[in-house]
Amino acid sequence: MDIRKIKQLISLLESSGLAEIEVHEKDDSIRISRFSQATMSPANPAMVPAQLAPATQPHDMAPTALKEIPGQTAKIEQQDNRHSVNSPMVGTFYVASAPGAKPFVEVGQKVQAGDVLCLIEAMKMMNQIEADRPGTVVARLVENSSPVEFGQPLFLIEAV
Amino acid sequence: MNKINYLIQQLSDGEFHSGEELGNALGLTRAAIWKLIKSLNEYGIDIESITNKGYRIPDGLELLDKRKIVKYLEPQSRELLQKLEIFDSLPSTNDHLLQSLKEKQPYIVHACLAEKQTAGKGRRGRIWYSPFGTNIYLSLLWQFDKDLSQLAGLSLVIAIAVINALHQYGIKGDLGLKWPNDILWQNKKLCGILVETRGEVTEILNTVIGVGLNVRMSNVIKDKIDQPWVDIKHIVSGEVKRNQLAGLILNNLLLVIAQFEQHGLAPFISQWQKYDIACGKKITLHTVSEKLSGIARGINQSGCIMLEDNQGKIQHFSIGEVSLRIS
Repeated sequence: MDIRKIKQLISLLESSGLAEIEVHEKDDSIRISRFSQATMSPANPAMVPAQLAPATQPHDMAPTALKEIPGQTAKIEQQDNRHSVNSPMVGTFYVASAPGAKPFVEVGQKVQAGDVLCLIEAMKMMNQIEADRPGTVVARLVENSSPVEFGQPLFLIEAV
Repeated sequence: MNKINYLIQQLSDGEFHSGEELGNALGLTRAAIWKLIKSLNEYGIDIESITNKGYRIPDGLELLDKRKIVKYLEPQSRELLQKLEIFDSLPSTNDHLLQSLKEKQPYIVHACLAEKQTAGKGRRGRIWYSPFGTNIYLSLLWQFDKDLSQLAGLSLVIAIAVINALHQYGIKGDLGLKWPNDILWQNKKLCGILVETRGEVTEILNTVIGVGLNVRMSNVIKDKIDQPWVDIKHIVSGEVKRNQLAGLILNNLLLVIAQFEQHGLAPFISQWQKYDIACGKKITLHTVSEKLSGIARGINQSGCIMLEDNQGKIQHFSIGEVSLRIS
């Protein structure tokens, strides 16, 4: 069972009002519980976290559960006031969805996590790059329509 | 069913229908039918109108039919595909699936087709002409448990999936690929592919793959396209089977992407190179900032094009548009 299916199960559980879901699929089994300590997947413990945290904040459960999965490195939160959003790939950087269109963000604009900042194209794949946390865009570090390298800083965002 | 849809259904058989017959069926005057027929032209449908005979769509139309399409899905594909939707009209099939991501429980693998797109798009805001009932506009949402750097080469394997489908449909020769994923027949564009991704704060990458295949481009649109193009009707004589084409493409997309998800680009490289029209030829690679000329040397393990300069040095590029030099 992969992470996407686990995520689907979690949202299913959240929207259903059920307390617990248990699914068996071939050799894998998973039990997701909202209100009590639950042990997941005794059949294949390497795949999933041994325990979910008690659901004191049910809405935080999904990301917590996902980040604990071994092999999925959780992003380390930096305490600095400013952080850069870096290019996840080699490609061409665009500020807007099409030439002449309004840019996704302007310097000085407040953004929420998940807001689109820019587009990076490579091999005709158009990849929208999103803010990973809320803040104010204080600088754009790359010219529109220019090539970017993997890891190159694209924007500076100041935490609010 | 609204009146326009009824009219299209009636005319889809390719036979003549008189204004009177259509008017009686719909409870409209002949003049009102004539007006409706005019609006079909705006849909991009060619309608022939002959005095004393009535109206017809030359060669008819095969409307999309979910039951016919799923017949072409192999068991593995059926297992992968969680949802298939068919619409008369959408602004854009890609945008429809991107919107669906905002729902509480988006599907992991979700496909949609539309008879027509009102805002069909290519890359960077280019228009993809999308008249009703004649071509294929198919999009597939796939949630990858990967990050962007692991997705290099996806757009190339999509092209292989479509080529496989065209083979199964009966098109054997003259197909070619222009890096990264233009599908050509005798060097004219037959199919366009647009891949769009949306990152997420969790480690899931939402990817929407759009395939636009020219099946039978209507006369209304033909003159608007600004590059050499070709359609299936021109390549394969006889009746055009849109549902078969759509089903074969969807089936191959599902199988190929599932394989890509497991093994990456590696299993597809030799197949891609078999269709590469540029390999060994002089090309120009146009990037946003420069034009580079050299000899194309195929693709590398990540799907980048390899270009040999006049000193014999080979460089790899993941961006740019290829044009073949006529010399």
